[in-house]
Amino acid sequence: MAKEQLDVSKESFNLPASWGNVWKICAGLGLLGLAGAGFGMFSDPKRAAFSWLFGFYVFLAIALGSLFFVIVQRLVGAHWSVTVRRTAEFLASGLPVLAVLWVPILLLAPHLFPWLGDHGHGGGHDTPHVVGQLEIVPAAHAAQHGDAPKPADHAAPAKAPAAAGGHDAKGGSHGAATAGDAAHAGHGALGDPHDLEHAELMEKKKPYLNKSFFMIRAVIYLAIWSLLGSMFFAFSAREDREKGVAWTLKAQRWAPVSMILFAFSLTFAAFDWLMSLDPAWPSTIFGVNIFSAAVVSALATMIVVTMALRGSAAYAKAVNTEHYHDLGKLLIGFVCFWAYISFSQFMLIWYAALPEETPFFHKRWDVSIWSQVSLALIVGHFVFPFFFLLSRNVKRNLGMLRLGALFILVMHVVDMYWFVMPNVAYNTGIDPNGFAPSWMDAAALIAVGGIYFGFVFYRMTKYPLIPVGDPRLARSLAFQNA
Amino acid sequence: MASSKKKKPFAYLAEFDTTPAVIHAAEKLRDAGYSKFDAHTPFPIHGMDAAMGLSDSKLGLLVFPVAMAGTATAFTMMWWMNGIDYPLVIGGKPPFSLPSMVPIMFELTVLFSAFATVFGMLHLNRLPRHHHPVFNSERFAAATDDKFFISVEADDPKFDLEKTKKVLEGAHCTHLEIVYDDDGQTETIPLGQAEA
Repeated sequence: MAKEQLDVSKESFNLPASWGNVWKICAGLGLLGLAGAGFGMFSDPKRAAFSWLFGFYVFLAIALGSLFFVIVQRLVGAHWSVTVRRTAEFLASGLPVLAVLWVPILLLAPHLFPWLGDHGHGGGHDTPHVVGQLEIVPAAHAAQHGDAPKPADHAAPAKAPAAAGGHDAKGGSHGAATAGDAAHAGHGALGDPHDLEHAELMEKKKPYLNKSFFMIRAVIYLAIWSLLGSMFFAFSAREDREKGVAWTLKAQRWAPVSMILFAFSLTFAAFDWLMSLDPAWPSTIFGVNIFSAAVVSALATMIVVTMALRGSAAYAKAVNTEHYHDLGKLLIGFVCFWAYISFSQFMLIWYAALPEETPFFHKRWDVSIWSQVSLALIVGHFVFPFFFLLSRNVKRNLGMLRLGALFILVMHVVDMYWFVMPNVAYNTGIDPNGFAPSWMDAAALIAVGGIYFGFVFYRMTKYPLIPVGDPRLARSLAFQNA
Repeated sequence: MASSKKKKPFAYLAEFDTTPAVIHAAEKLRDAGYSKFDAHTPFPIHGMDAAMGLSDSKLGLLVFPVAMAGTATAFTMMWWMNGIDYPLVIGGKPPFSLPSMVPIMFELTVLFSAFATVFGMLHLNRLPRHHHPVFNSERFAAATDDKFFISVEADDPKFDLEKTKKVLEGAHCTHLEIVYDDDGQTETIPLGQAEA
C-alpha cells in the first residue's frame, strides 16, 4: 500500500483555527456547571457531595487512563502510538486541574464517608464505628435527626415512628431500627451480634480509615498524578523544540517507577474514595476494577477527541486508519478486561455469599431499579461493545469506531454512577428509594468535565497536536497493521 | 521450449534479490490480473498483502461462529448436567445458576476459537500437504535464506507461457524457471530472450 509520506517539517500540526475557541466554550459550560453544583453544595450538601464525587471520578478515570497509556507507551518504547500519544499526554496533563477539583470532596467528605464520624449531623450520636453499611436506614435515620426533607414522603408512614422508637431504645445503635426497612429494601435484618461485629471491624480499620491519614494519602495521590501528568507532557513538549533522543530516553527511564507509582496510587485512591463509601465492604480487586474502567474510558476519549481534530488535513494523515485500528483493538481488549474483572469480583462474592461482602451487590441489584442499571452495564459496557467492535472492518471504519467509542463513554458515565450513587440512601438518609437521580449529578458532570476539557483544549492551542520532535515519529507515520 | 510442451507445467518460479523487487513484481502481477500466484520470502514483508491484492483473511468468519458454538456448548452442557440430569446443591446455590456457568462458557469459547483458528488456518492454507511442486526447484531452498520468489501457477486463468514470462521478466527477476508437478522436474528459462 503505497502511501504518500507526510513531510512533518513542512506541515503544521497546530490546532485548527475553528477549534481555537472550544476551550472557552468548555470552560464556560464548566463554570455554569460549577455555579449549579456550588448552589447544590449549599442547598443540599449531602446529595451534592455524591454528585461531585461521581462527576469527579468520571473524568479522573479518563485522565488516569490516559496517564496509563502514556506511561505504558514510554515503558515499551512503542512507535505505532507516537502520533496519538500526544492526545493522551494532553488528557493526562489535566490531572493538576482535577487535583484542584478534588477540593469539594475534601470539604464534603463527612457527608460521603460514614467512617469519618460526624456524618454532617453535628449531633454526635453516631460514634464512627457504628455508622456503617446496612444499619443506616434512610427513613429512620432522617426521622431521628430531623434534617432530611420529609422522610414520610418516601417511607411507609408507619415505619418511621417505629424505627425511631427502636433507635431511642437502643441508645445510639441503629440495629433494631433497621430491621423493617432493611428487609423492605431486600436485605436480611441485622441483629445485635452483627452490630457488635461490625463495630469491631470498623475499630480494626481505624488505623487506615481516619481523617488525617486519609488526607495525607489524598495529597500523595494527587501530587503523584499531577507530577506524572505534567512531567510526561513536559518531556514530550520539550522534544518538540529540541529534537534528538534525550527526552525520549528520559521518559523511558522514568516510565517503570511511574508505572509503579501509578498502580499503587490509583488502587488506593479507589479504596479511599469509592470503596470506603461502604467502609465495611472489602474487595481486593476493586482497584483493578476502577483501573479497567479508566483505561476503557481513556481509549474511548482518545478516539473521540482525535477524530474531532481530523478537520486538519495534515493531522488526519498523521493519525490515520492504522492508528485507529490499533486504538480500537486496545479498546475492545480493555472492554473485555473490564468485564473479566467486574465478573471476577461479582462471582467470588456471589459464590462465597459472606455477609460482609454481599451488601455491595445487594445495593446494586435488590434496591429500586438498580438491577436494571446493572443489567444495562453488562449489556452496554460489555456485550454490545464487544460484538460491535469485534470486526476488523468496524475498527477501520472511522465513523463506526467513533460511534462505538461514544457509546462506551456514555456507559462509562453510567458505570461511575453505579459505583457512587447506590451509597446515597445508606450514607445520608436522603433518597430512601435508593435510586433518585438529581439535577446536581448533571451539574457536577458538566462542571468537572467542562473545566477539565477547557484546560485540555486550552493546552491544545499552545502545543502541536502530535509530538513533532519525537525520534519515532517517522515510524509512527508509516505504521501499518500487517 | 519444445520439451516443455509435453509435460504440463505447474508454475513459473521467478527469483528476486531484494524486497522492493519482489513487492514490485507482485504489484505487476496483481495489476495484470493474476490471482493464483504466491510470494515466498525468508521473512514477512510489510505491504505484501496489498501488493498481491489479497483480501482480508477469511479466518474470522470461521472462528466467530465456532466461538459462539463453544459458548452455546458450555451453556447447554452445564444446563443439562447441573440443572436437569444430576442437580446438586453446591454452596447453597440453585442447581441451575448462570454465574457459575460463565467461567465455563468463557473457557469453551476460548478453546473452540483457538481450535477454529489453528485448524481453520491450516485448512485455508491447504495444509497439511506433504509436498509442493515448487520444492522441485533446487534454488527454492534459498527462500528460507536470502532470495525472494514468486510462483505463478499454471491454473491461473491469465497464465500463458509467453505472456506470463514477459511480465516476470519485466519485473526484473534474476532467475526464472518452470516447475513441473509430476516428475519432480524443473526447466530453467533463459532470461532476456522472450522477444526472440
